[in-house]
Amino acid sequence: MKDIVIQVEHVSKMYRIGQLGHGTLQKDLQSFWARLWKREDPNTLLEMNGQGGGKPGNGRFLALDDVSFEICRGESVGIIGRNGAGKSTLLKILSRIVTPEKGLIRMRGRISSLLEVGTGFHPEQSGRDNIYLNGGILGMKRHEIKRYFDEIVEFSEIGEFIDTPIKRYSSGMKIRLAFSIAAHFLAEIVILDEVLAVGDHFFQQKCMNKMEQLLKNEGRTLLFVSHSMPSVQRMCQRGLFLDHGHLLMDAPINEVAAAYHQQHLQSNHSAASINQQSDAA
Amino acid sequence: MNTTNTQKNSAIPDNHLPWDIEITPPKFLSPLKWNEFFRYKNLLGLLVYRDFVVYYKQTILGPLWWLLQPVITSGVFVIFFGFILKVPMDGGTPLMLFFLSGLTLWFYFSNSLNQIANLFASNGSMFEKVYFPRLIIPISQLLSNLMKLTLELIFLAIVYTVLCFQGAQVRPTWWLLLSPIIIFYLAVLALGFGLLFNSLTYKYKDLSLTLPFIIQIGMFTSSVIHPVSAIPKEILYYLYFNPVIPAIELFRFMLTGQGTIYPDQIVTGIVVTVVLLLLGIMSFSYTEKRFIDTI
Repeated sequence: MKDIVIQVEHVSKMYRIGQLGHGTLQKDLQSFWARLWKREDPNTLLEMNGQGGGKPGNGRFLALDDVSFEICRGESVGIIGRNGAGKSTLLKILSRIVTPEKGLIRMRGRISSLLEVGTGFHPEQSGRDNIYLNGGILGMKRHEIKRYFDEIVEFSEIGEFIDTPIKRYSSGMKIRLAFSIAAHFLAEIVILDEVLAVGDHFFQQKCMNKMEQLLKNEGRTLLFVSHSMPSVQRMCQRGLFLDHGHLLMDAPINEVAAAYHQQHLQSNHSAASINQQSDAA
Repeated sequence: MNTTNTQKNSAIPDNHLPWDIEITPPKFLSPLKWNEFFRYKNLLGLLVYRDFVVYYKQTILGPLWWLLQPVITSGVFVIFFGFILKVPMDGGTPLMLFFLSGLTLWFYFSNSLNQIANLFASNGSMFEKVYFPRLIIPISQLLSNLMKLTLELIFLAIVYTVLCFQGAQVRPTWWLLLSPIIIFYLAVLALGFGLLFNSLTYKYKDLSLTLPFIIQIGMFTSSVIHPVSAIPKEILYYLYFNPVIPAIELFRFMLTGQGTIYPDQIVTGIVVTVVLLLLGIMSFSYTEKRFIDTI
């Protein structure tokens, strides 16, 4: 029997292009007044048309367009696509940072969402205090933090600096501490957004190994976004290929990676027509 | 653990387990999830501790800094209003006691209001990256300000005792035992008004820049620096619009037995506070789902 832990049904997310809101109180009041009297809104942005698909039509675009999938317990799923394909939007919705416009998402179990490590670090506080605070922000209870405290300090290689205010840390130390905290407080479902690209090369390798170990041994579910195909292929068995807000492909990771490269090659041929940064690779 | 292409199929029978999390498009008003709030009580404690400690990190005077704001302001007011302008006071309340008691409560209110009214502006970068019940932040600010207030009230008690030994004509009343209710009232008021202000202004910088003026005007119109009895009869009605006045005047009455209390003013104050709290929480539950997209 399939043990579904994440179920995403027909999720869409729309953003306005350019100015967010009208920006000024005056225009918002105008619109409000018009709505109140059921007149035509002088600042109206025409309603979205069904096709959207990332096209900047009418000042809005669909960052996600009717995306549906399911993820079972223990799966590790890589989400790939070019810049602006909707990967981060999807992760933000799953992390409950933003809400979708349409659709329904249901999940089982606790979620660790690492869109960034070290969120809420306070520079004046010691590494020790920040471990507790950051753990709290990640939803951990006090005894859980206590249990892993020594491991975190050891893994981060902070050592004797643990009681120094972290504003005195080097940026590498800060990142190592932040990542160690995150890695030790993983819940059953893990959402990762490129945070593995931290620290120097050796620490990155250490992080990857730690992550793999955590995922394999303890049956966690992983959702992973990265532009680095080798790390996606290493961590994941299944891939979701997003393009302009559509879910193009949902297949084993190697097939998805091949399709992604294919698209990349094609787009290189018609490079002139694509108005994208070159960092799609 | 196969990775087959799971087509969209909402007809899959639900498993034995219920869903823990449901994410839907925001409704106009979604109820606050109090049980979830409870799960994060560890974070609440950590935030209170952080706010309290970080304020005086790397200072020589340490926690004494908490006392300086009301003490210095009271000193300035004693000189200006007591000796230069000679504002008429009730009976025999020593000026220092009068200003210190009013300002201590006022600063609790205004500092909390200032923090809560800038909730999204000051915590947006954190709210963008990680989920936790957002209301934890304002509640932790109220609590850490409460710790600060406790220190200030202890100091107030010391000043009071000294003044009594020096022959001041005032004594506390038994009503003073009810003063926690007043502090709670001010906390609720700061929360309600602050959340409402935050929701209304996070989009428009013009509006959020009015806050310092509101707080400054508030200090002069909340009977912090003059007794209610000094207000001319013709404009007495304005008391009914400012819910801070009854709190401060009542606190002074409990403390010294002197003050002018209008019962109907207390009732309107409570009504205004409750309405502001409801509006604040409603507007907050509306904006907390949307502000990340607009900030």
